[in-house]
Amino acid sequence: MVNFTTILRRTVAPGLVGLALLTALPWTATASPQRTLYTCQTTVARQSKKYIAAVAKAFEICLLKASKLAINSNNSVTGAADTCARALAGLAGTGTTLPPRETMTESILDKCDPSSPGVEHTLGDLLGSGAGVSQPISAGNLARWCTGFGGDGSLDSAAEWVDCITTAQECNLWGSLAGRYPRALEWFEQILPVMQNIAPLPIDAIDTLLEADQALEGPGNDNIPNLRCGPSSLPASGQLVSFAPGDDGQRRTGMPLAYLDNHNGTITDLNTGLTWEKKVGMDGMPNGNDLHDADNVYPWIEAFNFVALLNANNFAGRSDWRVPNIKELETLVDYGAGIPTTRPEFHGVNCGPLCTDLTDSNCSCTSYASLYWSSTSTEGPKYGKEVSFYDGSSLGFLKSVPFHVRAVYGGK
Amino acid sequence: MNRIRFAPVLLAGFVGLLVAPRAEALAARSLYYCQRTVVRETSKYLNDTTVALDICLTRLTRLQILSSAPVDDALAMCLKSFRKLENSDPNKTPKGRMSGNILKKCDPSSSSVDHTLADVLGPGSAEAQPLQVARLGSWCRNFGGDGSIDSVQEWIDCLAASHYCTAASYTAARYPRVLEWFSAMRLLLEALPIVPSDALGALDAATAAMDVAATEGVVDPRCGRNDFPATGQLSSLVDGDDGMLRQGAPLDYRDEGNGTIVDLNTGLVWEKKVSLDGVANSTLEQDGDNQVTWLDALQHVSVLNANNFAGHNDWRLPNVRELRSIVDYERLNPAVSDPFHLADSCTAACGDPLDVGCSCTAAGDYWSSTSVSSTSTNSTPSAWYVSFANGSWAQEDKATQLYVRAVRTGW
Repeated sequence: MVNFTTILRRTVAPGLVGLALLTALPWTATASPQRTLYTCQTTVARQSKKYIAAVAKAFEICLLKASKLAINSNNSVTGAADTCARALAGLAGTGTTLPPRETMTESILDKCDPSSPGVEHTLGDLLGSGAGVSQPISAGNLARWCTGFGGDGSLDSAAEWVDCITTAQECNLWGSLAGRYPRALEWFEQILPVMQNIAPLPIDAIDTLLEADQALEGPGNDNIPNLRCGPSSLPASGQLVSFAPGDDGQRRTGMPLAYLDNHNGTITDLNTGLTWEKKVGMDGMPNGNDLHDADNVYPWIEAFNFVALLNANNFAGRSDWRVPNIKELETLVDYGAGIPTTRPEFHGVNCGPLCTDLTDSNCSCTSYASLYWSSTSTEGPKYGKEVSFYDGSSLGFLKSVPFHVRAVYGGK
Repeated sequence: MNRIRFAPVLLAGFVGLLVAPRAEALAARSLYYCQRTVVRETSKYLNDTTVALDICLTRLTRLQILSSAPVDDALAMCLKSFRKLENSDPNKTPKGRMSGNILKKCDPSSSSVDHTLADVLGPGSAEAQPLQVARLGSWCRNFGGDGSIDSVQEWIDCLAASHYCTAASYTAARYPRVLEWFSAMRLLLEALPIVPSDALGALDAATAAMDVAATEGVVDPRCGRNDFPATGQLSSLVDGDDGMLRQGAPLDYRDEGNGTIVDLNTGLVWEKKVSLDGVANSTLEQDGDNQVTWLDALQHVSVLNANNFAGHNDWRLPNVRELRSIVDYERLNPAVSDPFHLADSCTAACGDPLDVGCSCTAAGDYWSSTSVSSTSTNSTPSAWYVSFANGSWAQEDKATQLYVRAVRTGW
């Protein structure tokens, strides 16, 4: 018996242990990145909340004091300068405590950045691209949105995510202040010079107040809040080649062009929020049986009958198709493209007589044999505005001339 | 007799002396309570909304990221969370509570309020320190307002919408997969035997706020105005045309009195032009008659920057899309709105860019910073111009002399 169990121990047991190890190892290999990813996500949620709460509290202490002085006692708000200096200086850290912004940044990087000790997930797991786990955090999703907060259009590190969170939250907090305290800007401007006379100079507090003041004010200078948080919806021109220092190709102002084929015969512009009808089957021959035939042309007035047909057919589940106005239509021109001057989403590699599948993102056509009508009139009732996708120009034409029509819906 | 006749007058005068300052102090205190209540209630509203979304998302994070499990087990928790945000009884929602409490302390019709509507709004107030809520009129248009704040309720509506957007923005920044998870959660809610319309409404509202471009998976809350400008066309010739639909934000500009005009939709700040008398003047950069080659147009902005024009040194030549954004298609010769061309005052006497009473736009072609990339269509180096005669745009040889208007990014 004893011998038998000894044999068992010596032969079977190591096998069992080995088997257990074999099944356990792949499990731990996938579970660990998941666990650290989870810790990262919960740390982001908790720390970012804590940070913005600290900023909110500091401003609340300052502004409540100001409103008490001004509104309740009809006094000058300059008496709040000391309170504000103290409250806002706390955001820069005091003595042994780190500034709340740094505490947040360090905690998040500690749990999220793949180079931190103990972190077992990869950058791909965090960003979503090339993730080894089945459920990445996909912070890369935020790339476009973060351009509205100083981002460069791609999100490539945990640090960039933290920057975006910080700036986005701060901007939205200033927005809250704008709505709550209609006189905040007026008070800031009275308090600032007094703070600048405090010794020792509360530089951090002054900087924080200036930052909020400038954000709230927006482009004007009249104590009326005009702040906006998030990306602009004015797209870039698309030009990427520079011809002279300071030109469009160098500066590239506006949001990078970005579109999404919805695989249902529509394409969404991620900047303007406009969703466009896709055109297909380009062979130089109009086809009255296919509303989406890229060769179809209509006199200006019939463009409105065309969108009425799309609506009657409930195309792509919508009944709010319309003819785009000239400022909407021109956003489809990519000034960095060749002929036609538009993005591949609107003129894909499969475009041709055989391209009739509206769900194929490579099957999409923009005709440059003719122009495209907008719903905008010009120089009297006889002329309409159009756009050429041959070169991206627009001149104005007699409305009786038949041009293409690309329908649109949406926008804010 | 005299004594008896005078006594009530004296008494009334005495009472008046006592009551008048008291009423003023009461109004001031009541206004302050209103201000304080707005701060407290909006803070609570923002917190309640953020926390409700956060509870559901914490659970979803645990299921998806930690356990690679489907979202199903989060159903009960998310349902509860969403029901905190929307309820068939609006008084039971965070928004309803905030609204009720603010009305109680701010609305002049409330019994506990001693101030007037003018004291809240600002203009016409008897108080030395009114709240000046009317200042928010233009900003609140970002959040569904009509451009002016005329009642406490309108302020509340603006506070609710702007703070909701803030909650959505916080959530979007923290949970990059929120839209994907909410979309999966929506399917579960819809499949319930009794579809919870309140919770579904709350989920849809959050999704809409975080997904402005309606592209599932890509968050883009925009807590600000609809900044894509309209064409300006107001006259309609046929049903469904531009003049009838007027898509985009109404054109909205302001002369800043410092030689610049700000576009309140795009945030772009434009150089103002004056002195349109048919005679160029190279010593005045803002002379509306000055025409230059494309390279000299770039040089013009360098001069503005060297001079720190209007206090800034980030002036640039606008790209073709920016330049077109200020065309007003209701107008011709020039095709711009008033602040860019005041027809009555744009005379020879209008020579001071700082004078808000005068502004000029030549009805001609203006350089953009955008070059023509494709050489196949043009043999000479060309760039794009926009005509402010009629809002057309086309290519022109860079050696040609055209008008120029500099721009900078205001926000």
